[in-house]
This record gives sequence, C-alpha cells and structure tokens, in this order.
Amino acid sequence: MNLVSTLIGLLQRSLTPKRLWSWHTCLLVVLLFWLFAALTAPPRQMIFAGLAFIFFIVGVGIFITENPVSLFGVSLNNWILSICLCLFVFGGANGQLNQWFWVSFPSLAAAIALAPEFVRLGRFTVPDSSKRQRIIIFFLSHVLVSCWFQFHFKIDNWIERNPNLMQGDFSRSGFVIEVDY
Amino acid sequence: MFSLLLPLRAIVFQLLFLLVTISLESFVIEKHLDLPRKTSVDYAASINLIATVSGWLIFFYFEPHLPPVPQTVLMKFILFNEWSESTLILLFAFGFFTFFITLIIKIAGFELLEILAQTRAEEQQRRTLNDPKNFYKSSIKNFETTVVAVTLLRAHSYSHVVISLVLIAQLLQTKLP
Repeated sequence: MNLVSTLIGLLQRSLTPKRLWSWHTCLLVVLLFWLFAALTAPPRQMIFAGLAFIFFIVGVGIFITENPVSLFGVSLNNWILSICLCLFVFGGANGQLNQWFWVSFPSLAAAIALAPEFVRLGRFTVPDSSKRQRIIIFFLSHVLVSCWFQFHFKIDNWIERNPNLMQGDFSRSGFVIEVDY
Repeated sequence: MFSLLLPLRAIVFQLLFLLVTISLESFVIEKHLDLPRKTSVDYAASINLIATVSGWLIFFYFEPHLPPVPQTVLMKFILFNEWSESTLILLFAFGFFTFFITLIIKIAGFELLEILAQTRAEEQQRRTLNDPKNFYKSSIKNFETTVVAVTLLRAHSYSHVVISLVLIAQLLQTKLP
C-alpha cells in the first residue's frame, strides 16, 4: 500500500507541468487525446489520434531542446524530430513505413539542423558567407543519403515488375547485396 | 524467409569514389587556382556532392522514360553485373555521357558556389590588397573563367581515370573464373 502511494506520488510529481509550455503538458494532452481516440469510432478516432501525434511531436521537440541528445558528440536532435515528423506525415495506419518516409527523413533532418542558421531574432536571414560552404556540404551529404534510400526503392520496383529477376545470382553485382531475414 | 536487396555495395563504392575524387580534385584545385588547402577541399567536396546528387536525380527522373532495351541492359548490369560485347557499347556510351554531364554540372556548380559562398573572391581580394603584382592576374575576368574550366576538366579527368580503373576491375570480375 505504502509502495503504491509512493509510486503514485512520484508519478504525480514527475508528470506535473512546471510551466505551461513543457513536455509534461504535451504528454498529458497526448494521453487525453489517446483516451478520446480509444473511446471513439473510426472517422473521429483518426482525428484524435492525429492530434495526439501532433502534441507528441511538440512534446518531443520541447524535451530535446531542454535535454539535447547526442551520440559521440554529434547531435541527434534533428534526426529524432525529423523521424517523428515523417512518421506523422507518411506513416500508414497499419504501422507500415512507405518509401516516402525513408526518402524524406534524412533530407528533413538536414533541413531541421540548418534551420537555426537561417533564422536570427525570429526573422529570416541569409547566413554568413563563411558558413555557406559548410551549409551546402552538410545539406547535400544528407540529400545523398536520401538518394540511396530512393535507389533501394528503385531496385525494389524493378523486382516488383519482373519477379523472375529474384532468381538471379546477385553475388557478382557491384551495386546490391542480398540479405535474407 | 524473405530476402531484401540492399544497395550497400553501391553506397560503399560511392563513398570510396567520393573520397578519391575529393582528395584528388582538391589537390588539383589547390595547385592550379592557388587557393588555401581548406578552401580547395571545401570546393572539391561541394562540387562533387552537387554532381553526385544531381546525377542521382537525373537517373531517377530519366530511368522510367528509357526505352525497354537499354532499361533491361542497365537493370542486368546493376543487379547481376551481367554484360556482353553488344551491351558493353551501350554501357560505355552511358559512361561517356556521364563524364561530360558531370563535368558541366561541376563547372556550373563551381560558378554557383562563387556566387553563393564568395570565399574565393574574398581570398583574391585579400591577396590583391597584399600583393600588387597579383592585381592584373585577377582583374581579367574571361581568363579566369577559362582557368577554372580547364582546372576542373583536369581534376575531373584525373579522378575519372582512377574511377574507371576500379570500374574496369569490377567489370572484369565477371569474366574471371
């Protein structure tokens, strides 16, 4: 009994928002919308689930700006936000991830990471000429990753159109490898 | 049991080629355009990334519009590294075409970078101010453009010779026992 009450107390303390715009607020709103979604039937359910997802993204955004996530000194904030946004926009209802998700999230991650360079004091500015070269290289290298994903889907598309290609021997190919799972 | 085709070899080859071209071309740019090393590496990296990304975009855009025969040739080459004497001509034509298209993209990209980043202009301005002898060299605009184009052609040719050697080795792999 004591344990349960301490647990509830801990949960309450950690979930109570410290100010209006914090990730706690967003999490509570998400839970509320999920509850609505669980209680309603399809057309309306989708709207509530979508609203929950939007607040989830806002919450994640606030959380990672307060506690930046990084791996080996490389910030992963932009990747997390971009994956969340692409999941929202391109994620299917059955949890299937389609081509557009894979193709757009690396480019979007670059765009999110570079956005602060273009905004100063809340308005659009052109970055310094010393930074522009770096910005171009950074953005294009992320777009290149998107191109690789697109190439994968291109190959998939070929196989779909000619299923007998799958019988061939891919071991000599200079482009693809076959992975069994 | 499902199997999945991942273009991992293409990714590894592309990274290798990018590293080779960036290092070779930055060296050539540094020597012939008289730029500091860091700037020339930046230039080489940017123009190569521009060329690679636009190459992919051109491929994705035009591949569905190809006539059936070249499409099958390309498909078999990419998936199985399969080629014969008759299809080799088509592949060589494809490579030849790619060489000039990427060269044009690189020269255009270099000019775009000059407008966007202005690093070379600033560098030259600094030099002209420091050394009056360089003044005439940088003031002749037409001469400059030709120098840039020739330097890029040189850099592009060097890097493509290396790439071709790797690709020929890859092609011959199928003919070996």
